[in-house]
Amino acid sequence: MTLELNRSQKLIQKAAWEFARGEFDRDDLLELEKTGKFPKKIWKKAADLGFIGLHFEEKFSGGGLGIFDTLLTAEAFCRKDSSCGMAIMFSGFTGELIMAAGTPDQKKQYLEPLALGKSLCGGAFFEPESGYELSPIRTHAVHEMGTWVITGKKTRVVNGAGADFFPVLCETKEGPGLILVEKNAPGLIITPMGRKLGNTMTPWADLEFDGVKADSNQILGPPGKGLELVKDFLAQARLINAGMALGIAQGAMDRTLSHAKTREQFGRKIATFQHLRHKIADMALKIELARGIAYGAAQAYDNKNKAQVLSAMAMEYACEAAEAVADEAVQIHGGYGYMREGEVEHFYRDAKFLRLFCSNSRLRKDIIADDTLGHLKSANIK
Amino acid sequence: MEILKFTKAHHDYRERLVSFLAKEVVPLIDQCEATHITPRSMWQAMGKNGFLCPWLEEKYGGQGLDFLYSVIVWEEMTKIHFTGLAAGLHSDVVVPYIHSFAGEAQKRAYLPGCASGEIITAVAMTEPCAGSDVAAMETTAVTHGDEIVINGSKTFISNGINCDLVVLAARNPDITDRHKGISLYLVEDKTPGFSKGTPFEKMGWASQDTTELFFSDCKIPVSHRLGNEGDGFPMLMQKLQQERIVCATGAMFAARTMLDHTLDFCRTRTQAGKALSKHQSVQFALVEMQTEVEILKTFAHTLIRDHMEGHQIIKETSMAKYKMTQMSKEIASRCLDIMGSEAALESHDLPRMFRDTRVTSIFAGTNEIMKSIIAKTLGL
Repeated sequence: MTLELNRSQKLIQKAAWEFARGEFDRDDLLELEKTGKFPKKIWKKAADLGFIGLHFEEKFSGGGLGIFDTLLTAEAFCRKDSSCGMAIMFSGFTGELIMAAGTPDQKKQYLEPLALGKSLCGGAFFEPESGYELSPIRTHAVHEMGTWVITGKKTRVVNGAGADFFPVLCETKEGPGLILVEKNAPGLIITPMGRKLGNTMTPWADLEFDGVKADSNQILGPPGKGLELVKDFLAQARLINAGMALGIAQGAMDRTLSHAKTREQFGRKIATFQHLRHKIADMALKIELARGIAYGAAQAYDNKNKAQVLSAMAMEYACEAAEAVADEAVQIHGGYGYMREGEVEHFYRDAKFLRLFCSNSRLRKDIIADDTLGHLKSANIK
Repeated sequence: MEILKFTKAHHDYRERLVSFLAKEVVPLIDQCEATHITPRSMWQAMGKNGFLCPWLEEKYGGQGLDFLYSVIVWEEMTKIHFTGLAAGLHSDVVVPYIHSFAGEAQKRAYLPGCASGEIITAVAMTEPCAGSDVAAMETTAVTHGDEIVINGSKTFISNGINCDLVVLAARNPDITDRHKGISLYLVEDKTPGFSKGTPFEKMGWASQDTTELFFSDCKIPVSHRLGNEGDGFPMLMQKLQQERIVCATGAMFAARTMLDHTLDFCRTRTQAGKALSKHQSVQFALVEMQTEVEILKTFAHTLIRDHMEGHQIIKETSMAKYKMTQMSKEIASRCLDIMGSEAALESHDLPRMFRDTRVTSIFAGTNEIMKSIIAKTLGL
C-alpha cells in the first residue's frame, strides 16, 4: 500500500471489514438492491457499533476521529457490497454540515440521532432542471414574525424518502441560508423518486415547500453563508465518495480474481491468458493509484488542508478507476457477469452512479482547473 | 454518397414499422421490463404485419424482401430501445439455420410459423462450462435407430421461455474430436424430456426472457438434425458473419440513439446561465462521439453491402462487432457523465440503454474472442 496507515486506522479498517463480512448477507442484499430498500437492520447495527459518523464530534455520540477513518470504513463496506456500503455510508450524509455550523442545541437534536442510527437526514440542495448548480436558488425563505416561511422545490434529495429532517438551501434576504425543516412540517410534500441506475438502497425524493414554516432558531449557521457551507460539505463528502469508489473497485477486483483463478476455458484457467493477466494488472494499478490519491487527500483534510481541489481530484480519479475496474470485472465474468447473481453487475452500476453523485467530471475538473490555474479575470472561462 | 440504396418501398416499410411500434409495442415496454417476458401476442402482431423474417421467400410464408428490410427492423427497434422482441435474433440469426440447413419437410413445417410469429425461435449453444470455448460443450445427442436422444443443459438462452423451436448444438459422445462431433438439431417445445428454467435476472435486457434449457432423455426424430452429422461446427461458423453484423449494427444504432437523447438534453438544460450544449467541454465530447458514430456507421453500411453481395468478410465483421459494441458501451457511459445524476434515474431513457448495451460486448462471442479471430485472419 502506498500510504502506511497508523495503528488506529488499521484497527478501524479491520473492524469495518469484519463487520461487513459478518453482517452483509449476499442473498439478502441482492434482494434489497433489486427492490430498492434501505438496509435498515444493518444500519442499526452499524450505528450501535459506532460506524456511523466516525468523524462526528464525540460529545454528540460521534467517533471523534478523522474523515480518513470514515473513508476507510466506506472502502471496507463497499468492498463487501457496493450498494449496501453506499446506503450505510450515506446514512450519515450532511451530518458534517450540522457539525460545521450547528449550535450545541442543534447538534444535540440533529447530529446525535444521526450518529446513533435513530434518524436520517436529507440534504436538500439541488433544484429541478438545474443539474448540479447550487445557485441561483429559486427556493425562498422569508423571515416573518419569528418564523421562516419557505416556498420552492428541491430534487435529488439524498435519503429524502426516509429522512426525518432536511437542511434546505434557501435564498433569504441576507443571501443563501440553510434551514432545518422537519419531515412532518405542514406544507412539505415529499415524493419518493423512482429507481436509479445505482445506489438503489438509498431512497431519493423530490421536495415541494408550499409555505413551510420553521422556527427562527432552525437556521443552520448565519444567513448568507449557506452556499459556502454546502460547498465545504460537498468537498468532505467527495472524500467519502472516493472511499466508496475504492471499495467498489476492490470488491469488483476480489470477485474477478476468484473467478479468473477457478474458471476454465480452452482447457486452462482463464487467469493464465496473457490478455486477461494484463487486464488484471491494469485494474490493480488503477486501484493502487486511486488509493494513493484518496488516502493522501483524506490525510491532508484531517491535517487541516481543507482545499477543495484534493477532494475533487480524489473523487474524480477514484470514481474513474471504480468504473473501469467494475467494467472489466463484468467483461471477465462473461455472461455470468451480466446476471444479478454475479454481483459485479451492480458494482458496475453503482460505480457509474457514484461518479455522478452531487457532481460530475465536468464540475470536478472545473474545481481542479480553478485551483491549478489560479483565479483568472477574463470572463466565460467555463 | 449513399452506400446502401434505400428505395421508396424501404421508406414506406420503415414508416409502417415506426407507427406499428409506437402503437403496439411502446405502451407495453414498462410491463415487459417488469415481468421479464414479452407477450406472444406481440410477436404475432409483428409477424402479421410483416416485420419478422421479411427476407423469407413467399413459398415459406415470407415476403422475399432484401436484407435491408431486416436492417430497418433492427434500427427502429433500437430507437425505442426495446430488447424484448429479439427480432434480429429470431429473424436474422436463428431462422436462417433452419432455412439453410433443414430438410424441405421441416422448412415447410416451421418457416411459415417463424414468419407469422406463431413460432418463436432460440439458438442454444452456450453451457455453464462452455462459454467462449463453444467446442467444450457437453450436451450429448445419441442416435438410436430413427431417434436421437439428447441429454444436457444450455444456459443464457435468449427467447428461452417463449421459444417454440430451438436450434440446439450437441455432440456425439463417441467422437473424440472437439469440433467434429458437434451437430445441430431442431427441438420443439413440449417435447418430452425438454424443459425450461425461470428467467434470469440481468443487468439489462429485462424484457428479454433469458433462461436455461434442460434436456433429459429428450427424444427427437432423426429428421430433426440440420444437415449432416458432425457438420454443426462449420454450420455455426458459416452463420456467424450475419450474426456479427446484427450485433455490430445494433450497437452502432444504439450509440446513435443515446447520443441523440444526449444532444436533446444538452440543448434544454443550462449551467452557469447558458445551455449545456454551449459549454466547450460538452461540445467537444459530443463532437468526438458523433465522429465515432459517423465513421462506424459508414463501416457498418459497407459491411452490410458486402454481405448482401455475398462476400466473405469474417475479419471485418469481427472487427465491427468488437469495435461497435465497445463504442456503444463507452458512449452510454460518456452520455451519462455529461448529463449527470438527473439522467441516471430509471425514468430517464439513458439508464436502460446503458444497462442494455453492456451485454453486447459479451454475447455472440466476447470481444476477446473477436480479437482472437481477427488475429488469426491476419495470420498472427
